[in-house]
Amino acid sequence: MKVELYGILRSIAGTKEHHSRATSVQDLLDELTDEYGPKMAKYLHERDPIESLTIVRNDRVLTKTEKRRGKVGNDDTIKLLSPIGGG
Amino acid sequence: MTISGEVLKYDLDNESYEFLNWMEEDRQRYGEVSLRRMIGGIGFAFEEFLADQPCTDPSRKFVVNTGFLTGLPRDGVPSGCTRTYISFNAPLKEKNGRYGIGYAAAGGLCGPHIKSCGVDGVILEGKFKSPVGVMLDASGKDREVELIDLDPESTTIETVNLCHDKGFKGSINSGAAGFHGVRFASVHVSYMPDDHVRAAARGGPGMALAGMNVKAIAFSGTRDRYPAPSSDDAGFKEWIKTINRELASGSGTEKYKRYGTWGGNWAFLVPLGALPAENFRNLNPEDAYKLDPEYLKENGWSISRKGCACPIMCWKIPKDPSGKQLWKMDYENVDLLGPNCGIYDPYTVSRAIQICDLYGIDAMSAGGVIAWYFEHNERQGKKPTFGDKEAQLELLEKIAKREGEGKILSEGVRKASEKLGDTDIAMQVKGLEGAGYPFWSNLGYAFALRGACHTSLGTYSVGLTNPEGVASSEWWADQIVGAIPTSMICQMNGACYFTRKVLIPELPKLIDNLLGVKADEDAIERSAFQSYIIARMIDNINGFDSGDDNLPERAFRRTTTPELLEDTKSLVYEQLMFNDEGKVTEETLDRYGLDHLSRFLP
Repeated sequence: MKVELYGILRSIAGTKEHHSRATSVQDLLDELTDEYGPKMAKYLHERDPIESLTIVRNDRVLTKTEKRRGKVGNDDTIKLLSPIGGG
Repeated sequence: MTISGEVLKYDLDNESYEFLNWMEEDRQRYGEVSLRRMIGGIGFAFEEFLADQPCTDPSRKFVVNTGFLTGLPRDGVPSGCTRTYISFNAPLKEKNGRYGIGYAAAGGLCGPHIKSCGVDGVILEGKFKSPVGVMLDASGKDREVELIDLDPESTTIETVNLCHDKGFKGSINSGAAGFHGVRFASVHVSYMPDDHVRAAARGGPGMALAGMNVKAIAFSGTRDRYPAPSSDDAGFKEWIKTINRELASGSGTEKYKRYGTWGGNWAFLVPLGALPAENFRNLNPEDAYKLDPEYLKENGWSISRKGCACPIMCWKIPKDPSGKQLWKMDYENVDLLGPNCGIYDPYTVSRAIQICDLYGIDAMSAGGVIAWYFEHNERQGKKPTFGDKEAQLELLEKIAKREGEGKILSEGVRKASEKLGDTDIAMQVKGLEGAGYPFWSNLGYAFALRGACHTSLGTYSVGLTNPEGVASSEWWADQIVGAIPTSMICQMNGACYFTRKVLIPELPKLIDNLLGVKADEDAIERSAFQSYIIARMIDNINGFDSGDDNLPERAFRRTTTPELLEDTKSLVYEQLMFNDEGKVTEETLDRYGLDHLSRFLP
């Protein structure tokens, strides 16, 4: 599964793309924490990532329920977006 | 307490002034000083605009003020709190020759300097006979105000430098565009030479000020006139240091520090297919990457950080690979003068923002007006149209000077479209051109105090990120009413909008120690609602009602329909106890503790 990282997530990971075999959003977030070290862990754990991150699966924004319980698969393209910063 | 309780009130008709003890006046009038007025900003200022009669001239009153937090860390307040607020009857928010309320704000060191003159702000009334600067000199033992002749045609930077050369470090000035009658003219809030890019812009404060024949309001103060915090408690001072560390390096402000608004929003809106382009008709422009700061950096550009005397340093200043420095780039200005006009060249966008800043034009409104004009021409089979870089820069000059087609465009997109046709693609609410977010995803625009403004009702992103809610009027009503307190407090307390996640939860403690007043979260929230309600009353007096709580035709796409908006309206009015016409009622005033203002109900 192709995972595109944007904003702060991209800066922390040092890469635009991540390839994953996770089967759920939560698994994917755990995988990112393991792969990209304490900075990623801190960023994701300082906030509820399910609440704060916008997750797009195959060009459709996931609902909170889908983020908490939804499955993802090998054929999906996932975009992970940090919160917006207007003003 | 970190407010002086005084304002400078200047009567331009009679060339007279006084330092008014507004706290004492409030006590005499109402028996108490309200928390809302003490917090400051629009919470103080809007009440000054309540009147028995509608406003038929936006240049009769102009208020510049600060919040209780406006200051510097050395003054005992948190960092990131330097805001100056401007309140006025907005030239863009006109209905049948009457003008609703407007406000604008900017950071920088001018705000703290105003308070170093021993005042919380300035109230200007009337008109002078020729263009002048209102110069408040509080650098000596006595405070004096002098009017000096100023050239209305000078640029914002020339005026800043002239004031500075005369010893007035803080200044607020209108560029030439305001004196030419551009309805979306801005004012520039500055403290140091060559400091000319802090615009308080939305709604047309530059035209309102210029209409009074005031080119600048300038300040010369001393540090010992800054009002001291109520508490001298060492524990509180230590706590402020922890707050400052959080603002400087915590997660609550990280996105602004790292990316500013430009890079942060590009990295959010582009992958989401939500970046407005070509007058908001295209939300997925394929050339968007050409203005992506990350793409530019990969291609040899550098982007430096600056800020308004605060550790967040959200400003982003690009330099091209040859070392040439461009103008300051913020998200809204880049999108609205860039992709929204079909332009993806950073040099043109930078130059366009620079022209706006020097003439004193709201770059956001300018982008909205030109985007509409490009599409209008396209419909007519005429030129110029989207992507014409040279035409855009020429149009900006013509708008600023009100020459040629610039004369009609300088009226704002609503009036221009009413004269030339194509109102269906005029992307505005209550006369104000939209911010750089898709209209369909923000029903809050219809209820936002300034019109199509993203910060005066902060619901600009919730529709994009909550697919489970966007089709529900109940969800929207809760989002809209729920956003009012934070949106209003950010325009009252003197703190930068970007500090809100850190500072708003701490307001009870800050109010206690800085103002010496006990106020819980409910009392603070009530003050914020009061500001919104008073603004609504002023708009009601000037003829604004339910029919003006609307969205442009192009907003009605995806889940957003006219029926959804109407249903949401009913629920919002019900929650705020407005009547069916969207007007404030006795019940509203009673609920929010504003009974003493009932005589102003229209």
